[in-house]
Amino acid sequence: MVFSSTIFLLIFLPLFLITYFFAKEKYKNIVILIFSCLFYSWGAPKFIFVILGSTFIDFHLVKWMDRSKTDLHRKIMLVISVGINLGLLIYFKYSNFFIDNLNTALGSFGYNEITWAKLILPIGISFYTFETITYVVDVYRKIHKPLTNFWDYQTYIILFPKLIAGPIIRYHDLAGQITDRSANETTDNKLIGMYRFILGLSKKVLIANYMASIADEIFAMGFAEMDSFTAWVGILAYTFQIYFDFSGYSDMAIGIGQMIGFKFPENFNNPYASKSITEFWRRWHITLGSWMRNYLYIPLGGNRVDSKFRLYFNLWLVFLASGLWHGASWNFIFWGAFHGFFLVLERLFLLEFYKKIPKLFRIAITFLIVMIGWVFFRIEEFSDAIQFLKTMFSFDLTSLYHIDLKTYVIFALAFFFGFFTISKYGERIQDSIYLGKYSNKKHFLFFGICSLLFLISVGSIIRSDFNPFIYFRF
Amino acid sequence: MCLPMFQYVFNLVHTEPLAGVNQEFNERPTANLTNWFSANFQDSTNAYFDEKIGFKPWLIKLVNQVDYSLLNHTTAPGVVIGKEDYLYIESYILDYIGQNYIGEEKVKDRVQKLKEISKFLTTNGTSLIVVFAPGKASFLPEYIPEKYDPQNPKTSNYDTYSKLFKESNIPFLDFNDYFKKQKKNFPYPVYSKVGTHWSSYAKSVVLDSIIHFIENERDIDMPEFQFSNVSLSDSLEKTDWDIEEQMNLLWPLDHLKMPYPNYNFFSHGKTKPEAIVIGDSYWWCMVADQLPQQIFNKDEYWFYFKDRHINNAKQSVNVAQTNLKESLLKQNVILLMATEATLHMFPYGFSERFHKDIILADKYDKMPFEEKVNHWKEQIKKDPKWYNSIKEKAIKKGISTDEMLDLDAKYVAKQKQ
Repeated sequence: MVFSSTIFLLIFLPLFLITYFFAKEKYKNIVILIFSCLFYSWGAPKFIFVILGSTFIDFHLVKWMDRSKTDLHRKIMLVISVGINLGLLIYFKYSNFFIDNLNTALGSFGYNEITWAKLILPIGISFYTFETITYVVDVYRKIHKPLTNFWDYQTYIILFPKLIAGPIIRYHDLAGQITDRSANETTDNKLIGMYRFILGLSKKVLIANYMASIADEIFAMGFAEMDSFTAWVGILAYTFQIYFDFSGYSDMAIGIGQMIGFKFPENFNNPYASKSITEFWRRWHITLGSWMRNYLYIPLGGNRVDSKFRLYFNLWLVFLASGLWHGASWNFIFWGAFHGFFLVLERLFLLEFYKKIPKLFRIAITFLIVMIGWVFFRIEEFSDAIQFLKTMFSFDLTSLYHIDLKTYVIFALAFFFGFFTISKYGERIQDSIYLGKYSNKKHFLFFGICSLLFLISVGSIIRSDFNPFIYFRF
Repeated sequence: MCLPMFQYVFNLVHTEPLAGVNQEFNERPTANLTNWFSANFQDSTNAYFDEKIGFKPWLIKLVNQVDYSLLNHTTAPGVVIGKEDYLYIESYILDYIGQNYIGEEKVKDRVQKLKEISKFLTTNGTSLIVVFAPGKASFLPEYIPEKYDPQNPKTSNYDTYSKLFKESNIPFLDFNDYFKKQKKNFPYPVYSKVGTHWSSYAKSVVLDSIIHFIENERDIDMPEFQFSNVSLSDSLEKTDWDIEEQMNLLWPLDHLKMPYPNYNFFSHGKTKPEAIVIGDSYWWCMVADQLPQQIFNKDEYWFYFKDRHINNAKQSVNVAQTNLKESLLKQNVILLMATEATLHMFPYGFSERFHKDIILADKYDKMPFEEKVNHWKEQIKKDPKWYNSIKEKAIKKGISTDEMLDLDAKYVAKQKQ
C-alpha cells in the first residue's frame, strides 16, 4: 500500500485515525501494530513473515546480548544479530546483482552461467534493516537499555508511517515515545501533523508525479538524436521529481507520526539550497547520512584516523555504501562514488575555493554537480549516461521539446519551493510552518489551504486511474 | 478525509457520473487465503475502490477544472485546447498538418482498389459514392495551437485522396473543400467551439447535397428535404459539445449559440433507394436525428466497417460475420464517408474484404471447371499442412502425389459448385 493511493488516503488512514483516537491509551500501540501489519501485508502478504520473524529473533538476541556477562559474548551476539539482518538484506537485495555479475564474468571466460530464480525484494527491507541495526548497536554500546516488551519493539520496527520509505529512525530517538507520547498528543500536533501530511502529499502528487511524466517521456527518447534543451529539461524534471517525491513521502511519514504523538526526525532540509556537496549531505536524506556516520563511518575510525588518505578512503567507502544502499546496480554505486569524490575534493581544496565566490554561485555549482550525479542515478547503462551528458553539454539548442503552460508553472513551483530557503526570509517561513506555534488564525488559514490541496491531490490520484474508453462514437 | 468513505457506504449525495466508460466493477472482491497471499485480492480491491470511492466524479471534475482554468491543460484523451478555447480532437489536426500521412503509394493503391470496386458495382447497378465530410482542423486552422505549426502544413492524406478521387471516375463529394471555400458565406456556425462534429446546419447542407447528387447519379426522384426556421440556442445538443463532455469539467465552457433547423421531408411519390452507409462518426449525427430513413429505404450504417447499426440499434451480427455479397449487391447506393481524422484508415478494410469476398469469388464462379481445379491445386500447394496430407494419402493409395493432388482438387471444386 502506498500513501498516494485512493485506498490508503480515503479508507485505511481515516479508519486508522478514527480507531487510534478513540482507543484507550493502553490499546493505542496495539492499534498501531494491527494496522501496521495490515499495511505491510497489503503490499507484501508473504514477506510479512520475514519482518515479523526477523524482529522476533532480533528482540531475543538483543535481550541475551544485554544479559551477557562477558564482552566477548556480547560481541558474538552483536555479530550474529547484525549478520542475520545484513544477511537478509544482502540475500534479498543483492543476490540478483551478484549472480548477474558473476554470470557476466563466467560468460566472458567461456563458462556456463549459473541458473538462478530472481528474488523479489521485500518492501522496506533497506529501511527496517538499518533500524534494527541501530537498536542492536545502541544496546551493545549501552546507549540504551533493551525494550522489555516484545510488542513495543515490534511496534518500533513495523510502525507503518516510516516503514517502507523512512525516515530511518534510530531506536534511541524513538525509545521513550513507544511507551509514552502523551506529551505530544495535543490537538495542535494533530492538526499540524495533518498539515504536514497534506503538504507532503501535494509535493508528491502535484509536483513530483508531473515531473516524473516529463522525465519518463524524455528519458525514453534516443539520447544521441536528442537536442541539448530537451536533455536539460529531462534532467531538471528528474532532479525535481526525486526531491519532491522523496521529501514529500518523508513529510507524509512525519505528519502521520505527529498526528499520533510521535516526533520523527527531519529527513530533508532544502538540499538544493546547499552551497557544497558536504552541506548537501547534511540536508538530503538526513537520517541515512546519520546512520552511515554513526554505524559505518565512526566504526571505521571517523575523523580520528591517523592519515588523511585513510580519512578520504573511509569517506569514499561510506559513499560507495550509500550508493549501493540505493540499489543493486553499478550505476548506483557509481553515483555514490561520484558524490564521495566531490566530498573528498571539497575536503582537499574546494571548500576553501567556495569561500571566495558568492553564495549564489556556490549554490549553482553544487546544484549542477548534484544534477550530473542524478544522470547516473537515473540511467542504468553507463555508456547511455555518458551519451546523455554529451547531449546536455553539446549546447545544441534546436528545441524539439514543447513546453506548455502547465509545465512552465510546475517547473516554476518546483524551483520556487526547491530553493525557497536560499533567503533567511524563506527559512523563517519554513520554520514557522513546520516548527512554529499556531494561532487560531494560522490554523484557519492552513486548514483552508490544506483542505484545498488535499482535494486537488486526491482528485489527481483518482484521475490518474481514470482511463475512460471514450465511446463517443468518434 | 472520511467523507468519500461515508459516501461509498451510505450514498448520501447523488453525483452525476463521469463521461466515458470505465471498467465495470459490480461486486466488491472477497478475500480468501489463496487470493490474499497471491496479492490478487489486494490488487482487485485497489482497483475496486479506485472506481467506486465516493465523490469520485466530483473530485475528478474539480481537478480537471483547476487544470483547465489555471493551466490551460486537459488530460482528456486526444483533446487539444486551441486558441480562444476552441477544442479539437488531435487526430484531425494531425491529418491537417500531414503528420499521419501514409504516403502517396498507399493512397494510390487504395484508390485503385476502390476504382475496381466501383466499376464492379456499376455493372451490378449499384452506385459507390465516396463522401468526404468537412474536418474541424481544415475548416478552422486559425485556432490550432502554434506547437502544431498550422501555418505550414505538409502533404496530408486528404490532399492526396481528394486529388486522386477527382481524377478517378468514382463519384466523389468533397465537402471538406466545399466548406472551406464557402466559409465566409455560411450564415450559421458550421462547428461549435467545444464539439468535434458538424453542426445541425452543416449536416443539413450536406444531406441536401447528397440527395441531389444521388438523384443525378441514378436519375431518380428522391424525397424532398427542406430545413428551415433555424433557431440559435445556448442549449447545445450532445454532438455540439462532445469534446467538452469528455473533459469532465465542473462548470460549462463558453459556447457559441448553435443553429438547430427544423427538418421537413416530402416523400409522397418519391423514390427511396436501398442504401448502406459505411463510415466514421460523422454519419452518427444523421442517425441521431433519424434522417437516413427519411431518404433511404432503411437506415443501415456500418460504423468503421465493424459494427452494423440498423435504425440506430447495434446488431448482434457484425460486419465480419456478414455475407457481403448478399448485403451489398442488393443495394442501390453504397456511401463511403470519411473525415480527415480517419483518412489514414480509410476505407476501414472495406476494399480488401470486398475484393476477396465478392470480386475474387465472382471471378472464381465464372471460371471453367478446369481452371477451378488448377486454382485449388495452387491453394493446396501453398498450404504445407494440406499438401503433407495429400502426400500421405498418395502413399496410402499407392498413387503419385500429383495424381492425389488432382483428385482432391477436383473434389473440392465440385463441393464448391
